[in-house]
Amino acid sequence: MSITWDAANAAHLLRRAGFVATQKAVAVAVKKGQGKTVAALFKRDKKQDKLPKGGIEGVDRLRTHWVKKMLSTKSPLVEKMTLLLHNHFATAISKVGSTTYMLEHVQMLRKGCFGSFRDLVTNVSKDVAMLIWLDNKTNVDGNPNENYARELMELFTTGVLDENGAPNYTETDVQESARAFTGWGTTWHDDREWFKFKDWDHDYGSKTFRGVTGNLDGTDVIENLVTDEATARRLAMKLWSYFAYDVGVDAPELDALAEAYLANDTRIQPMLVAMFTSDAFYGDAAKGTHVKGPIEWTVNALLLTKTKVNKNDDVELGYLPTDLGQEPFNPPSVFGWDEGLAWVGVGGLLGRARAAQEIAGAREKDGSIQFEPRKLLGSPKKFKKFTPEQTLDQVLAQLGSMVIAATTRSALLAYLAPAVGETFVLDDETIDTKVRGLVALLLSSPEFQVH
Amino acid sequence: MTCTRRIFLKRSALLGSAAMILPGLRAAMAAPGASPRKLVLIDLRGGNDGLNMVVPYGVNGGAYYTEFRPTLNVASGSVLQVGGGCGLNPTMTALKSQFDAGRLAVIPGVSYPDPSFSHEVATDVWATGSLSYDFSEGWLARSLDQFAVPTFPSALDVDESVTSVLRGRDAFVPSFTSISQMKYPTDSSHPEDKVARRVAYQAIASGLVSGVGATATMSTTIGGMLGLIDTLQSIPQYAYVGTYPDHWFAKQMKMVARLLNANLGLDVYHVMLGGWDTHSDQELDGYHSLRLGILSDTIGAFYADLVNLGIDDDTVIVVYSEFGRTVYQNGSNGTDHGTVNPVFVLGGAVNGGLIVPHPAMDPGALDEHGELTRSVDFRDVFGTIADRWLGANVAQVFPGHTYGAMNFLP
Repeated sequence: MSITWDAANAAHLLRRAGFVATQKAVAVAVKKGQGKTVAALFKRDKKQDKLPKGGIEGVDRLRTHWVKKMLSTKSPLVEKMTLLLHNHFATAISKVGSTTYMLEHVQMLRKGCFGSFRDLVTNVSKDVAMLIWLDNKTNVDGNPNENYARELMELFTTGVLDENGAPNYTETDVQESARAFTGWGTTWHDDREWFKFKDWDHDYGSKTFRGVTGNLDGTDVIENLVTDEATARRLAMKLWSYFAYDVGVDAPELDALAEAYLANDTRIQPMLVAMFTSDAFYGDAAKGTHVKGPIEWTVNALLLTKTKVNKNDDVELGYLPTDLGQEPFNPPSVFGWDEGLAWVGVGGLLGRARAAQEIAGAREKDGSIQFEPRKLLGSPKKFKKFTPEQTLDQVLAQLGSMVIAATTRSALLAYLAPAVGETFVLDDETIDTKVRGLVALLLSSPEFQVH
Repeated sequence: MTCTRRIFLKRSALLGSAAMILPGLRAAMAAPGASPRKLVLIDLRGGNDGLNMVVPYGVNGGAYYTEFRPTLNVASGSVLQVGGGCGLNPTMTALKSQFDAGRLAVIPGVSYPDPSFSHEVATDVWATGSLSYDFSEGWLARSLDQFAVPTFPSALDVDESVTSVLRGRDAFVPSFTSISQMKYPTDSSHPEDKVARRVAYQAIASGLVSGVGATATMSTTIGGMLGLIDTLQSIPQYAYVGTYPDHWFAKQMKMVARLLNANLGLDVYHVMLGGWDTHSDQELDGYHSLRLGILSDTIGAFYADLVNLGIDDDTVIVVYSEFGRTVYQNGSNGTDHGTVNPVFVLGGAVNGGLIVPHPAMDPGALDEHGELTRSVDFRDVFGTIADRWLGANVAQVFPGHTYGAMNFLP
């Protein structure tokens, strides 16, 4: 290891593995050292792993519930990984239609997010939401439905092509895999659906899947796929592209992750450790290049601005990322959300400008959120004497030591500058107009969209 | 979906060929004094079941259709005949009228060699025109990039972001789905701060625009977006003459009509309509047929507005989908991913009719997967649009493809 474990690298890790890097957290991480900081990421917050008793009714409550979980968790990596896996196994309430199944689906991802990928794929294959989403509950002997079998390979495990551009499977493999998953269906009791293997719907005939012939079951297909190097590389690519920077399956950065996966019986945690301790993770290609997705942006913005979230609101909060194009529990299709620059087209950027104003202008005590600019300014004794420069620097420091371009700085100082003949004083009026305005501008600036 | 490396591949195929810059699109596309040509692409995302859209009862082996589709077949007596043994789904009366008026070209059996059954790959192939991830830009972006960069955006992706045929354009391509959304937010408690706020936002963007990476890209978008906001603020309302169904797709097409009425120079549109991935219960409560009806009724209403605006001869509408669905229905009263699909091209200048014969339905004529074989390469359909409608050089739009012009456009 040749990187220097300094504040910049520690902050980078905390931002990517979690949601924010506050000055305090960075100082702690620097002191702790890289190894211990990485290890601590995997400590689970038991309280946050619990689900509300009696379930949740209504999609607006469902998404608000998750956003609140992300805001309050002590183990943000768990939520980040859950979000990544939710995008990987993209399943949506639009078709599943049940908040119970969707809550269970995401909880299954949350529980398995550091563990064996084999277990995760097995659980996903038996998950009621998934059985509905990709129709495997209607995949029966003699009349197969290949929707799940195809996406299992194309999206969840090997991918279409390997690192050399050769196909990982054929159309026949898709059809044979569909036969192997016949009978993996659901049964109805206690007013809901449950997973059930229906042997009367299962095709017990001989099948040939990726060169292996026999009376194959879905479990055999899963075993074949999750132990394949193509799956190791593809999962590594997903992790690297999400936490570090965009790469293809052939990127050499992925070698160590794929090896960790194969050497540790498909476990995900060793891959993450390999990534967070590799030099490339802290390189120039990684820093400041990740476009925050709407959910990340929301959590990031609310935490950094110290915005108060109303305890009694269990409905409204989830609209923030939803209005920016990312509705938790409802990805647009089985491909999940497009990441990166796709988030920040005209619609996305304008949405973020609106959301920034919504946060910065949240004055109501009983609203869903409440933002108090003074929380960012520190002690009134000091800030009463602040110049525009000092005001800007103070707010930047609070927003996770945000770095802005010199031109952005000039634009913001011009914005803060008092009218000709007047002096700059952070009185109530100026705070309510200009500090709120400054925060809205910073949250909607191109610099804030990346980290 | 996480981006893979192909997103970053630069268009090596094009940089080599010194691309000639043609005059501005508006000038190039229109005869002197005439209204500039317009293009509206309707992208049926998810894989539309083309066999139930253009039903091939009378083609070679057409009798097998009901065998392949025991519960999903469209009744033979109900289809709207378009000749060649084919008929439109009975919900598509509006498009049938267009067909009868000679303005609708029905092109069945469109695909490409060794077609992919994956949504992602197939969507990418149709968007970029590359069968092997050679380039990352959309084919329409490559067509428009041959013309001088316009001062005002000439193309709009009616979507939250530019991800399809227009992606990777040199010029700014806006993406939005409603005009009312196009407002820079203000703090209602401090209207007096409105101008200062916007000035600062614009200054931040102009400061970063010449930089590199994502912040520079976003800044270009912000610059273009603020200009667009100003223009859109004063665009006139338009009294639609078409009767549109109550559906969000119809709302988006109405927006296109209103933008065309405003005559801003925004002449090229990509609009999406999803919901076609019908693996199960395809016809539950008439789902798929009703969706085809919404598509048809919306286009019919939109066309009435084009006529009202006097631009029906200057506009071409193209309807396509990344693949068709399996010839055989599956065990869930649905259909899985298939191969070929019909493309529709509509417009006052279009030579209508059934352009090529529908692929044979005889089990012996199906390919090794039991799917229909291709009649037409989609690059010849899009190539004809690029060539005969936009006036672009097809060799630069689909490098490596031997282009054959089709006669649905003069």
